[in-house]
Amino acid sequence: MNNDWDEDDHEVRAQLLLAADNIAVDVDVEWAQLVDVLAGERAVLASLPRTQSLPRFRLGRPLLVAAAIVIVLLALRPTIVEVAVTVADRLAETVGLAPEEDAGLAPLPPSTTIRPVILLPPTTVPQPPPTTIPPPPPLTTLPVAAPPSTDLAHSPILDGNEYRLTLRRVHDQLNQAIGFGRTNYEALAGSDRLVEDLLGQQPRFDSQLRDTIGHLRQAQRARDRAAASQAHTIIDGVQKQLATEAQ
Amino acid sequence: MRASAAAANTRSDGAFEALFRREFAPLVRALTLVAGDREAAADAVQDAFVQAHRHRERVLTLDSPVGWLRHVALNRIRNQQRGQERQRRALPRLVEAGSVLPERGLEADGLGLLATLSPQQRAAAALYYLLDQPTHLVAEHLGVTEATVRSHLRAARRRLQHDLEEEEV
Repeated sequence: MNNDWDEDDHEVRAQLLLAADNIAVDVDVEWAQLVDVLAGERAVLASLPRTQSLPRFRLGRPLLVAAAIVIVLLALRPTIVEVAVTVADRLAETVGLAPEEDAGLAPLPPSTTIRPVILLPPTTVPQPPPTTIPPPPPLTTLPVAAPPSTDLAHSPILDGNEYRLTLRRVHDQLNQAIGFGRTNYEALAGSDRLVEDLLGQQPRFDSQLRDTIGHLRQAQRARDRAAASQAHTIIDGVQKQLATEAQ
Repeated sequence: MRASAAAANTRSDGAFEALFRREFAPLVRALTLVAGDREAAADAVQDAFVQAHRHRERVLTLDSPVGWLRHVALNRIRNQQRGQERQRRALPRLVEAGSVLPERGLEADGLGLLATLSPQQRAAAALYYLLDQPTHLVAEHLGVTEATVRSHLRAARRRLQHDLEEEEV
């Protein structure tokens, strides 16, 4: 490495080597020490996998389970949302509230609309003894402050009228197809035939129902949102008229 | 498969032992002059061999396994000396100002001639002449400039030649 040494350098190096040779080193003893150290190290390494595996599994399993749950939830998210919307619709129907996703009408902010609300008695409240306090009325209706016209299409059909029930079914299909900005035109499958079956039962609505059938078919064929919306408007109008007459 | 792995291990273990028996003593001797302490030098070289054994498959195939060992052992010595320096600074009242930690072993090893050099001169001479380190690496190890290293080497050379001439007379 140090090629530029002169003669003095070689002499100094020789003297240093000579002096260094006086330093006693017992290689056999040192080798035995090293072997001991390496054996101890090997023993420590051999014991490591057993001691480290437990905490790794303790942490790893819950993480794996949590990750699997998250993945399943993400995969099922559209289904979950759809089921939740359907359940909310059914619940609203049962209670008597119009579903907010009505395809033909933009949902109004709650502060500007007062709808008739029927409150069911809480199921967890114990019934007081009948002798002292009269039982609460089974249903309480809040005063109606808004005209009932927007809710008639969704109000409960208590008389079991098949004509009105069929219109409701078609209305629901339209909501599923284009409500909330959806474009699920497959949900309209069979809706035109349902409306067709109604022809002749109430001749005064037949003309509107024929228009509706045409709009429904156009909507399915061409995925035409405007046609579906017009079908919704007509169905909604007929439903309201029938609901008013039933009242 | 397992038999061939065992055979390879045996071969590398044999080569490792041969390397140890060939290089341990020269390294300890040179590093004793650098560190001024035989025990510290032996510990540093042992430590280097332990690390070499962990990576023996790679170290044994290097062009200069002894260069690798020398580098690791020198680092260990340097870290040790830094620790001692911190200790010395932390205990200023226990050690006289300007003195160095007492060195063990040089007199006992019959190195009276080298003991006349200052620790820095001796370390520079050992690194340069015995461990074949170029002056810039010697400077790095000692934490001084390359010019200072050259100055140390000149002084060490003069001193040793002077002492040798006196001995001859």
